[in-house]
Amino acid sequence: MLKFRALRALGVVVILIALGVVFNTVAQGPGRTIKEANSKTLVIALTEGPPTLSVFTTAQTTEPLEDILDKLVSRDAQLNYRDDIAKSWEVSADGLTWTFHLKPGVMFSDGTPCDAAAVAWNIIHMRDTGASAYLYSAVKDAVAVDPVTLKLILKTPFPNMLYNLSSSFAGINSPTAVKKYGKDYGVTAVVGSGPYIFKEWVKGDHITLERNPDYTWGPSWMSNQGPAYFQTVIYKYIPEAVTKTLLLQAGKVDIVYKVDPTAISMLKADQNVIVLNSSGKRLIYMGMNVTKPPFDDVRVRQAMNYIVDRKSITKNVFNDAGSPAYNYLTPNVQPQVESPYTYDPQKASTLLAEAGWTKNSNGILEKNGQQFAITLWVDAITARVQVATVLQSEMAEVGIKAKIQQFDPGSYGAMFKTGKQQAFIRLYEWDNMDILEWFFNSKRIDSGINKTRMNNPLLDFLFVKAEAMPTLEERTFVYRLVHEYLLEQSPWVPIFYPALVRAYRSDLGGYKATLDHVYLLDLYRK
Amino acid sequence: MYQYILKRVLMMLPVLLAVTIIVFLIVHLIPGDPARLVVGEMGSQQAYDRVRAELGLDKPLYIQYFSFLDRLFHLNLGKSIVYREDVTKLLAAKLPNTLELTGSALIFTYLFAIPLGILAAVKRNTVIDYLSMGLAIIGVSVPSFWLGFLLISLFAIHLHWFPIAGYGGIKYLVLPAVALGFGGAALVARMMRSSLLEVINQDYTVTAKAKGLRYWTVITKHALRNALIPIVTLLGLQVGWLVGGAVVIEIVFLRPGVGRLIVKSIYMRDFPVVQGITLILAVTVILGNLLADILYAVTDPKVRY
Repeated sequence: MLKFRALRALGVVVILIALGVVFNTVAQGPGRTIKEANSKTLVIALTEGPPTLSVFTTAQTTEPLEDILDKLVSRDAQLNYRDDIAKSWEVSADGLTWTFHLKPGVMFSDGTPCDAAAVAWNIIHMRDTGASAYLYSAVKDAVAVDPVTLKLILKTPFPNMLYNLSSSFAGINSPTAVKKYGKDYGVTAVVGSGPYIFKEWVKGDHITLERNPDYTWGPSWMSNQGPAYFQTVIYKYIPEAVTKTLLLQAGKVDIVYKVDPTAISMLKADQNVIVLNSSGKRLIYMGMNVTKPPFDDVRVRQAMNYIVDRKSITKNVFNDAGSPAYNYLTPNVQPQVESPYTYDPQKASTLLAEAGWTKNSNGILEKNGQQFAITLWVDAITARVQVATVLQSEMAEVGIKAKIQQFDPGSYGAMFKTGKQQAFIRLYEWDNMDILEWFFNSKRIDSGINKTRMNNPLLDFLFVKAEAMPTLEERTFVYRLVHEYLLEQSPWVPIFYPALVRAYRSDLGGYKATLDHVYLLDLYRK
Repeated sequence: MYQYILKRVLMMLPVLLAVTIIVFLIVHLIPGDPARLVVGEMGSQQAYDRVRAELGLDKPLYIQYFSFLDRLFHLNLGKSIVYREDVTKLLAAKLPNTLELTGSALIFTYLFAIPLGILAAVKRNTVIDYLSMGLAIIGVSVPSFWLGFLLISLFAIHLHWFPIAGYGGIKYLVLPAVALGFGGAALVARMMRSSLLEVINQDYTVTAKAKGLRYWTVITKHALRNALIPIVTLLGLQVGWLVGGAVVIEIVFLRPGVGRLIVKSIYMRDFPVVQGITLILAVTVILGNLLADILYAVTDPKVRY
């Protein structure tokens, strides 16, 4: 009897284990062997190639680097800060010391250890000579206490530190490789500890990566805790939107970053393609030079905010691939504030009349014998030129003569140093409140970054305060004041938030993406 | 004849020198700073200064020009600012792709257009004439990139005869070569037709016919040789057009040629690459015209050098 009971119990256990295995397999999809066998080469289409793969030389987004380099901290799809090579961290009560506990055994692909000393070297090297030195401008020193403990000693409290450490530009490079290759680092070689290893860069055409077989330290929020499934990843640079779309539909490309708005409906109708739409981190706006007439008058700038029919632009220029913009910060970024501006040409006319602008016999606004005639700058990118054309006609309706001047993208940035701009269309891509400091701090007028040429002591004061606030809440509070003040001062007319539209082949499983990147670790071909 | 060719080749040198000066000045005087474009708008001043120094952009303009000339005499086109690779190496990788494309387009142009033009002239005012010239008008009017997409849609997506885009063999070459050469072919066909019609009615052709020669012999042996002269003039111009048109076609068909390279290099103010490509294109166009002049002598007995 006892024997029978024992056998029955054993049977139940075996059945439970078997059920568990089946359930686990169903839940997680096929096993590693099958996934690896199916996943040979992944082709990802991007529009433009980078000038270099060295984060120390360029402060421009370089997608393949996200797979080659690990960071101290990662950010998941919900924008929470999570582990990367640091498994945990804590901040001292005064906010001046950050202690990071690193995962043991992390290695660069050149065989050198990616330990606390290597991370400290990266931080100091970037701070002193790197293109994104601002990331660590608050860091006084980086100390490797032991191979798995890193201390960052700050000059002032800096609650934005986790954002900076998880930024695309904060990838950790092998110090040995950076020193070995010198000027050629990022051109002929780039060495990190990420899930993929740099293999080949055919300039202007593609970058090839190979799987890092030793990678076992992926972020805990990824399902796959071993090496990536795809053996080879090719980042292919395809400038033409139609070509990119056709190649995706034909299965020659697996993922398209930034799908062109005109291609969305075609791709959505394709059963072999999945289109994903998220709010993104880009803003298209019209800026105004606040030091030059007629935009030196705040009422005129406010009037411009009432002239623009953002909903119409969203629908007619961008095929609804995004949303109308009223704020200076992109949708996922705090602090969002309530904008007073809606499409109201009547209100605009009233404000312009208050500012002394009255219509002459030809219907053009005039003040002291001077016509309201402006030049609107725009870079020669089709959608933005279309926005400029719409703005031109909307301005004409209230009696403003706007002449559009187009620039090639290479010249456009440099033109703002001249200070000759009156009104201009621009796009920025960023997802942190500090972008306001970047664009409106008077110290960046000469470099052409503060394009509206705002030189406002109150703003400058608030920026200094905000950047030294001990907690994120206090920092956000100060930036809320900044944001509200900017809306009142109206150096910009926010116009449109382009959505981040990505598309991928439906035979891919484990697709996981953030605003910055499609994570390749979980990705496999079904 | 050989003296003439030598003279023309020697005359290339001052032309090329002028090209280098003009291109150098244009690319340096338009706004845009390559070091800033590499480092990025948000890039730090230290990184910007370092890149400028590495690229020699901190030196005065005339020193930059003379060091460019100095390198040129040693057949060294310098180093790309964006790609940090030797321009000669970059061009060696990309130029064959462009030459392959423009060469094939040129062959298509003439193989397609000359018979079409002859047929239209010989069968003038018939349905064949109207159809050929209708095709030619379409060819002249349709932009090459649009034709490219039409060809992809029909022959790559629906019929699966050719790949959509890319490079790596003759099947990758057919659609871009047709898209690139079609406009020129239309022009050549129209020129061929009108030129042949003019010659057909001249006295010597009538005499040849009166002598009892067969019609096609008169056309091919007597009329065609004179009628081809304006077509040869077009050849020189065609080379320039095709190289220019290759920029768009390479982008549409994703071919890694100098066309794509020059667009990116102009945007990024990659001076050495722009200079290098322009210089090579200038040589190509000059040689194309020289070839046309030599072919004059072959086709037209009146021309003697």
